[in-house]
Amino acid sequence: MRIAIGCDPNAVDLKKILMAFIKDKGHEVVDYGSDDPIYANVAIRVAEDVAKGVCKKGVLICGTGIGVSITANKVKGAYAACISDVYQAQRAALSNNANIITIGSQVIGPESAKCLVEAYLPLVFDPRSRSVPKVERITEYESR
Amino acid sequence: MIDAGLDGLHEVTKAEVGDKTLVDTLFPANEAMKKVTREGKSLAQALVDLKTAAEMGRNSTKDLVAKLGRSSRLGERSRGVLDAGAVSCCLILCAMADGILEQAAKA
Repeated sequence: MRIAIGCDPNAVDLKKILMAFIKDKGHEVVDYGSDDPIYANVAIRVAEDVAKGVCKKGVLICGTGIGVSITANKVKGAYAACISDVYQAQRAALSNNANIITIGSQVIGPESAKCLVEAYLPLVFDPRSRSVPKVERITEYESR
Repeated sequence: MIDAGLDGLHEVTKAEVGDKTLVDTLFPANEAMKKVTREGKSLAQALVDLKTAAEMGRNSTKDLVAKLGRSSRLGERSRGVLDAGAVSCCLILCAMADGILEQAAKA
């Protein structure tokens, strides 16, 4: 699976750790950079490419994970979940069909961040689950 | 290809990075491609780096004062807006990269 990853300059160390970790899991990782202090720029680039299907899923990191999450969710077809525990990581994929997770480098330690990524990446939204009408309301509003 | 584009441009203009022209997009995009090729990264990574460099180059023109071309007549008034050539060059490069990326994602 091709995974997009990007962060702001504060989260470079965690990004490098997660890139190596995701590669070890057998995925192709595409680095969308970390140099731009305007975190919205990298978040938009990752969100657009995940929405287009260029990358299957995305991981975005900033100080809290909030800024990149707000930004990514402005991009049509991108659904970013700001997560901090493993249950959220699972439900982001299974209940919410999130195609991006966002993590705060000042909130989550590197080993915990690996657990979040490991929990999220393999899970796929079930198109027959009872979450479907809830997710559909979001996409319906988005394309109004 | 981009390298050849830059060479071609240099034959007709003396525009360099910082003059608020399409060179501000094209030059960093070209450098990014060269760097990623040297490092032996994947095609997807090369194209994403190309897009990133092109977009950052485009954005850099906002705070510049045009020194060459038609907009140079505006002088200080050109500061605060993106350069039209840098924007359109970025659109072309990104569309090209996206086209290849989307085809590769389908394959």
